[in-house]
Amino acid sequence: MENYYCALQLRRDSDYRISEDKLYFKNEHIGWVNNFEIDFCDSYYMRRNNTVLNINPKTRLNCEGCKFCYTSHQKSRSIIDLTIPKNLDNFFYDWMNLYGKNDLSGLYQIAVVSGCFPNENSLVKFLLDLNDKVEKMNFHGEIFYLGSQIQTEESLKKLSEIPYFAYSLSIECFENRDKLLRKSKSGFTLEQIKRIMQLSILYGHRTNFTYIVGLDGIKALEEGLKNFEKYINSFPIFNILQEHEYQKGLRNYTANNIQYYLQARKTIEKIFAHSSLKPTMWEVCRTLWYTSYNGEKL
Amino acid sequence: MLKDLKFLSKMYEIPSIDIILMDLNISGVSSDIDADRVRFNLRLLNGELLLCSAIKKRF
Ligand code: SF4
Repeated sequence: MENYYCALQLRRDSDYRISEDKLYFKNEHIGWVNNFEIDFCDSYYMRRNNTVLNINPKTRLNCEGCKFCYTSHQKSRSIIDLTIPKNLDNFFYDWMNLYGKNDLSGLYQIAVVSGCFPNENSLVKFLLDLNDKVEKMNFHGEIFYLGSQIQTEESLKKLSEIPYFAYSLSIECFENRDKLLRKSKSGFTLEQIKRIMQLSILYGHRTNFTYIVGLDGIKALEEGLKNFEKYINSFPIFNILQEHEYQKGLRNYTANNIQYYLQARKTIEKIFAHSSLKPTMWEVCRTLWYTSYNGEKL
Repeated sequence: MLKDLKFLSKMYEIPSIDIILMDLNISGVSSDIDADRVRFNLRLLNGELLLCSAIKKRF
């Protein structure tokens, strides 16, 4: 049977419990656990059998404001400001040493996951500098940015210098955006986001968005997705809302039972049924899909 | 009992394993460790029937 990578909130009131190397549901043993550790917010982590490198160039530990976010509560083992060029050089050399590589040719993607740049220009500069640096280290993969700080056509145009660039807009929810998102994110309206996504596709970037399942009612989810599915060229990143102890009551009142998530999954599958886009398993660990999508094996 | 998970699986045409993993993400997990979040690799028990019978009265 498959191994599933899990990154979960600790909840004293959960029916699931880990003890030593076993996962229990109430008192029933339902699975085996290995590589159990605290979910640190480090300067990098690996995915897809060590071929995808996720970096947090500006630590997110100090970023606050989105109600569903947990990074400011996380601990870190390494905080390095990778926007400082010397730190970025050292980071890649250390990484190659650690993984026994001579260059970055084995990497499929470098993902930059951060909404914490001081402004759009500094983010674009970082992405372009990153591209220059990794090209020299023989990287031929995709540079992926997840966030919402690219907000102008000028930036998208500049980023066309990167041979393979992907932009995942952190939409997160369609309702109550003023209440749920930090100001810098909610100020970028859904209409503005749509336009930027349209332009992003025009400039040849792989484009999608992130969405948290559990914040909106099903109707808002359905309408929002129908409204946005024309502005993507790769499957959106759907994350299940993980409500931490200190976030109790955050979920949409209709999303407190499993049926909501099953319904959400069916609704999304129906909306995307006409397209060839599918979820990418390694990209999301708190996904709605594990073994099948729209009746087909994943 | 067994039929709740099986019933939902049938009704929504979603495999039980997917339902359990979704439920785990919704519910989180308890442990003695002092932290807000944990990560690990999980191998669920082999066989849908076994899992269904373990997850009783859940939904
Ligand atoms: S922008 Fe929001 S979701 Fe991203 S790290 Fe900051 S508070 Fe968290």
